[in-house]
Amino acid sequence: MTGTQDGLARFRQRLAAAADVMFDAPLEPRSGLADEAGNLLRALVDRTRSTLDRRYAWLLHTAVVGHLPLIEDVEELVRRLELARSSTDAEVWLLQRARELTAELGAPERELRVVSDGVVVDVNYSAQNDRHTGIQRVTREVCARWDAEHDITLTAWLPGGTALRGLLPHEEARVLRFTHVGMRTEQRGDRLPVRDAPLTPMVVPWRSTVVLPEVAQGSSSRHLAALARFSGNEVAAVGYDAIPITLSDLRPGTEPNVFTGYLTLLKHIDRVAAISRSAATEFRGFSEAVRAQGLEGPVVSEVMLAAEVPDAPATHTVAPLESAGSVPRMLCVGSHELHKNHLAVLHAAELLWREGLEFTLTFVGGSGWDMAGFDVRLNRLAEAGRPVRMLGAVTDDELWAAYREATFTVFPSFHEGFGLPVAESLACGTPAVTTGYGSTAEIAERGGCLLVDPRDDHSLARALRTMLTDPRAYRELKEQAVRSVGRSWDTYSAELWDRLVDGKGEAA
Amino acid sequence: MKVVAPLRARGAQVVEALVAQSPRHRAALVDRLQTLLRTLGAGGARPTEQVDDLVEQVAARLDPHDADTMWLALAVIAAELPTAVSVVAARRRAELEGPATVLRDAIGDVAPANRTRRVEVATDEVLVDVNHLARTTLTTGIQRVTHATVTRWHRDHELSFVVWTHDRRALRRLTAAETTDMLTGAPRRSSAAPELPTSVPTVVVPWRCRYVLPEVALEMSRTRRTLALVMHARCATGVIGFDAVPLTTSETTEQDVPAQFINELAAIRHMDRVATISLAAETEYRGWRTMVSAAGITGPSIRTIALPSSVEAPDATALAATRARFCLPTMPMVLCVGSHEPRKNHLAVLHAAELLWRRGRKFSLVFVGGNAWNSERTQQRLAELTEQGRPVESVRALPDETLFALYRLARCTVFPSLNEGFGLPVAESLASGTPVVTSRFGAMAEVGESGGTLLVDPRDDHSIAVALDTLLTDDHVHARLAREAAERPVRTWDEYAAETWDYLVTSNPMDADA
Repeated sequence: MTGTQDGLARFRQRLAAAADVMFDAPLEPRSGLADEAGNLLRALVDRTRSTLDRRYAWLLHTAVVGHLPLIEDVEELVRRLELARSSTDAEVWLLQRARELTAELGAPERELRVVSDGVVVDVNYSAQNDRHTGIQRVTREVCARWDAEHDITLTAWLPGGTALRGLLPHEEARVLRFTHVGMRTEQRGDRLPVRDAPLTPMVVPWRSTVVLPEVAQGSSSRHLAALARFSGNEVAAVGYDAIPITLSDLRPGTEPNVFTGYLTLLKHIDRVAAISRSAATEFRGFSEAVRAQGLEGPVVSEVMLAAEVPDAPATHTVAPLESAGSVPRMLCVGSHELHKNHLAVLHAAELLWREGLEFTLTFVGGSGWDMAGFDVRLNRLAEAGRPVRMLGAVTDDELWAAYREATFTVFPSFHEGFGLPVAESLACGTPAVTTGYGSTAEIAERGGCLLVDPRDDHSLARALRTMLTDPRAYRELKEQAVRSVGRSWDTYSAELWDRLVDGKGEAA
Repeated sequence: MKVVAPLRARGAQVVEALVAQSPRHRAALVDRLQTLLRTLGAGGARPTEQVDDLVEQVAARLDPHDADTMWLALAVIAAELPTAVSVVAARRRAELEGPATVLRDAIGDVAPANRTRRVEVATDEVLVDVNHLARTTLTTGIQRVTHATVTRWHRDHELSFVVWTHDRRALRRLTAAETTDMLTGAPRRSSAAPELPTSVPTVVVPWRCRYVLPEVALEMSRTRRTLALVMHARCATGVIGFDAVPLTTSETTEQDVPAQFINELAAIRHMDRVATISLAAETEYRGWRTMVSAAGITGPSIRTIALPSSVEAPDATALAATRARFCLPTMPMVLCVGSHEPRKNHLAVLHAAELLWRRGRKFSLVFVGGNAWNSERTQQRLAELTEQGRPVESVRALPDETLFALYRLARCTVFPSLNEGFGLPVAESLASGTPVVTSRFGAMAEVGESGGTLLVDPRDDHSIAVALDTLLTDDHVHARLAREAAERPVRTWDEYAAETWDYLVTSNPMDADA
């Protein structure tokens, strides 16, 4: 690893950065890179060996290898240091281990920047992709506000998921100043070409708070687990939902393999701010379960998510159905996935059409997983002349317009961490029919909703019928929806900072 | 929609044309429809062998709003169990186009391989699902529990063993010969899994039964159908809950196991009762049940019925042979039982042992257990210590007789696992009168609660080393713990079997509407 002068210089820099935080006073300088690096390594190894402090072991491993360690890496280093007969033996072992790891993970090309006593935010996906749905929207809205008011360091992962790095300017702009006018949701998923900048240093948090507003995946979650367990940093996450566990039968078959990997990270972190009471229930349940392994699990609290809709009149409008005229318009927003229960919407609508009720039904949302049955059913109804259509993915402006033009919306999902379409519908002053438990019921406490049992088609049909046939009830719900008060991103971001960074107001 | 009538007529013709091709297919279908008619209530039924007449009569007895009878009809006609999603689809179609349309569709969709199967509706029986136990001679801890339990259930109660067909889509009864093989077959530690006969003359559709699952079911085709069975077959249902490790400690399980296990949990979500094998397992299942409550699902009742632990006293010959093979005359032996997977924490055991060896303590260390997923680091460390001349060895699984002799011969055992459903090696060591160093939480602490153990923080190597040192050097403490181990109350498999039967079967009420 020290084969080139550049490599040696970076090695020395990483060790010096670690020594900076491990020692109160600067070490005596030596002349020559090699001497200096050797001197630093000896000092770091000796300090770690004499204390067997796992924070130091984590930092030492990181600085020498140039990648973040796994739990078993830190455990092994501590054991090897304890058993080493001399500092030289310890150094030989560590350098040998570093050679093995860099052969596997790639040579460390970066310098190391320690962020001490700060706030490090992992925005890996939002920094590198233009997708702007659920999680990315939360990440960007929050980071823009936090950045304006606090000193935060935004990070992404190196390609192998083995180290954090700072953002490049265009990545930072994508997080803090995201613009997406006219972009359709389906076009937003492409990963942009990587403009790699090897000079961006790896970021190593120290005595800091690491915030995870995204759902960590793959190997990064294993490195974060070691960070949470050994580094002495506090780690806090936004908790969205545990649908891959609670409704696995309605999700892709192998999804739990990925999600349980995320859970193995969560059990070592300090705090989770769940986006609803319902989501908090899921994460609290997981914390309860890990007590069987002598762990406390994260402290879970709720910070209910925001949903904002711009006041300005929409510039785009959804083209009305040709024959729609003034018949009521029913809108169903959400990606087409089994657990959103769109098949029940189609069935209830057909029952009502057969009763002779007149209304149109519009679905808005990208395609999700295994909805062949939905497509067939929708096409059959359309062919039979029912006024139903699927718009697919739309722009934000088109979406706001669709909410405002709808008579009411319908969203009988089996489970949501936060039922965004209900919150958005109310924010547009449009009443909603939605699931009578979980986060949708929490949002419905603002008024303007009829609650149903999503597992009972007739319960759903009854509520839709009320919306269509009971003008007094509808007017009341409409007024409630118009008056309803949602939550702003300003409020959400401020509360999230208090909860995740300052640890205020935690439920026991 | 006005197309309904022509569809029905065409459907009837299609069905007649279909069954006309094969008299055996036709006979099987007539039999299935008559079975359905009997099960749904044959009052006022016209005796007939005409397929479409039977379809109409069955349809007249189906309520399109009732998913349960729709499940029954789909299962009997298809000669395999439907999934929950297909039941919902059928119920909706029945509501819009009439039950007869759904029945005709189902007849048209019968898989060719199922066309001549006989279908039996089992009612008012206790069905015990032993698919894994009956199909394999692999003897894991879970299989030992299942075997010991169902052997006693079979001895003491009326029950029927069922297994899944080779495609895991239908249930059938275990034959008498298979039952004998399963119950008497000497446990062998082999992964050979002989396939049961694949041609299945009769499949079983449970209806108002008691259904018990005393093992872990990981095959997705099986668990998806079990989910629908649990929801719709109007059975009282129960399962033994061993642990939730794939949910809570997935970093220590093989790649696909979390998905398979979480899909089993989807079925357990709708069961009536889970008998967990320890309070630690109960903690895991309760946490999981809290999670699913967010999706508007109550989940099962959960109660711990603790496993027994029994060891057979080894005879003098076995003791002598085992001593000669595994023990050094000059030093005590420390035993560690369990596969080398990271969760078992064997690297910490090796480190604690090395710290003590360096301090001059004399003891040998014997690991019993095969390699498992991600055991490379342990292998490497074992090799290094062996090369340095440390008295350590690792052997794969041994015959019970030798294992039980090792428990007796050991000065102490060490089992600092990070997560267990039960912690069998702790229980077996204590039952052998040998003190144990084990984890201070979870199932390990629970088993060790009544004495005989030193409890440690398994994430702290020094904590393990201190306890191990105490047991090696402090005869007074060792004698006290050995005495406590010997005085532990004995819990038998008969007690365990009786309590699980009572909780999962006798006292588990059938659905109120049944």
